[in-house]
Amino acid sequence: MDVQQDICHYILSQTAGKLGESVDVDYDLIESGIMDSLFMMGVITHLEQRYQMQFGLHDIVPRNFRTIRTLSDFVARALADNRVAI
Amino acid sequence: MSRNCARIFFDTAERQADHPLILGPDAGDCVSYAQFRDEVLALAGALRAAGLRAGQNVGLLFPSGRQYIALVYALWACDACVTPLPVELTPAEKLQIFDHVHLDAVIAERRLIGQVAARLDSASTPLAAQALYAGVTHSCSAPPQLAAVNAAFIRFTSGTTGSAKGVVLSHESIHERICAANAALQLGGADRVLWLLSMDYHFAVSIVAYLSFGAAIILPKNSFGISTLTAARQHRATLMYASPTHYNLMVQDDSGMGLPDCLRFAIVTTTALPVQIGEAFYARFGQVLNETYGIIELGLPAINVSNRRDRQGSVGRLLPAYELRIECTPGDTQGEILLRSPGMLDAYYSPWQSREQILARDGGWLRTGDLGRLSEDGYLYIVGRSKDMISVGGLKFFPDEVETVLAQHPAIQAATVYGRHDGRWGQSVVAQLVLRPACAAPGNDELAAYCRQYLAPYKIPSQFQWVDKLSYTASGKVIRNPERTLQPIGS
Repeated sequence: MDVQQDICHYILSQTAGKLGESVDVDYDLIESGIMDSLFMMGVITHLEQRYQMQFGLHDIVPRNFRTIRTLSDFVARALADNRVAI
Repeated sequence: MSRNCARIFFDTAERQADHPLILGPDAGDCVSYAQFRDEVLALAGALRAAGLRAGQNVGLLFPSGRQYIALVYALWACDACVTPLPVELTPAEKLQIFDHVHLDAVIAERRLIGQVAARLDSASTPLAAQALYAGVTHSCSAPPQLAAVNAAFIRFTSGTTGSAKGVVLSHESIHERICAANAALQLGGADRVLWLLSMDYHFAVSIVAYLSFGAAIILPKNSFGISTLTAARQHRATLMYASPTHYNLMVQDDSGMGLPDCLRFAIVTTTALPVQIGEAFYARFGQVLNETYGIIELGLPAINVSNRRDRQGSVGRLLPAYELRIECTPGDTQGEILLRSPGMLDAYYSPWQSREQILARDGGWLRTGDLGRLSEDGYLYIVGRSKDMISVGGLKFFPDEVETVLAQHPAIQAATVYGRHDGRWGQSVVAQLVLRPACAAPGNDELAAYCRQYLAPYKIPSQFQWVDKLSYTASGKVIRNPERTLQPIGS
């Protein structure tokens, strides 16, 4: 499962049917109200756990969390930068 | 007639019908006190028509926001009691509440009702666009003593001292708490409070206070720094009510936007404020964060409204309604905090312990489990926590809950869980695991997926460490945090 698929899977599993059975990778998670602070905390925990990478405080901004695509791009950059969790 | 927070709100709405009550999430959104009262009354009528009776207890499974507030007040207008079923809990955790707290009915958002359908009548009644009401078919019995309490909330919680018990709050207790807090906050019709927290955990000494004292509530679109700051400026916030994590997100915002010049207090609640967040917030905005000391059993005994930089790190002076005792050993300046005041919880739900029984244990005082010291000029500093509670992004839970789930994994023989300092969320969860003999150690992904079935996301360990054995004290009690036996606060 690639990063985008994994994030899709996670988001669908945590939104209790709000998005139906699939979600577009460019669906706006912020405008739709899904990405509240509790949800964001879950996403971060999941990604850090899964990819052994770390979100810095300055990374928690709308441009990284707006869509599944922006999230997966962020993970790819973090892994490329070798921002491994300590 | 006994006190009822809904009737207090109706009186406020009568006095200031056209005053704004809810502002946002969009720039032009504004609901007045009279409009909101009418919304509450319509919902109350729909609830009665659906079969709700006075004295019943209703589980509320609904996202925070305007409608959440309206539903709570509609239930209170029907003289019913509310038990939040927090949205972020897993279905298993939600169903567990039915086994600990008697529920007569549930109000759920349409998309969420399936999570608790196993305990509900198959037929449900629509109350509003997305709210459904359904009777409960399977739940535990209510303690007979509950009938004597004018209950407003029953919160399913571990309380201050550990195992699941549920906290019962009456309308009288809530009113006493908000009056006590308002001695410091001085909330009134000119106030506009920017709200960022989960209403499942924060309602009594906040939302109820705003609706009672005539303030407006600003609901931002989301909790990213830019959205919070935009909403605060757009709607001229005079107070903010948020967790350290939210203030941290404001500090990280790179738009250069400042706070509104009318802001009186930026209240920090849910968990201790890490020093570096307070410093960074001041450096960015020139505003001291106002720390508080909140306890579910008591309300808000202390709020630091001094706005003094040299008092940052303190939760402030004790509010006039509260009495404090610090139990120190001779020669020590810090010790366990004991408190007494009006607005104490009415009871622990299960097993039932009345307020009198709880207080009788310590001669009329509530033992908090927190360690503190007082400065010479009366500022209270919380210096540690003698209990194991973990707080992630302001959401609190006890490690036992996570340990129980982990210990049921077939490859795990024993598990211990503790909170480690985390600059973003206050704490993160670390699990230490002992492998069952002859089993292969599952990977982190597998363990996280296993936990997700039973635990809300914030309770899932961010680190799983395999150890040969757990550490124990001489008396045989497991040592949860091998890094430090005393949880630092505000470090």
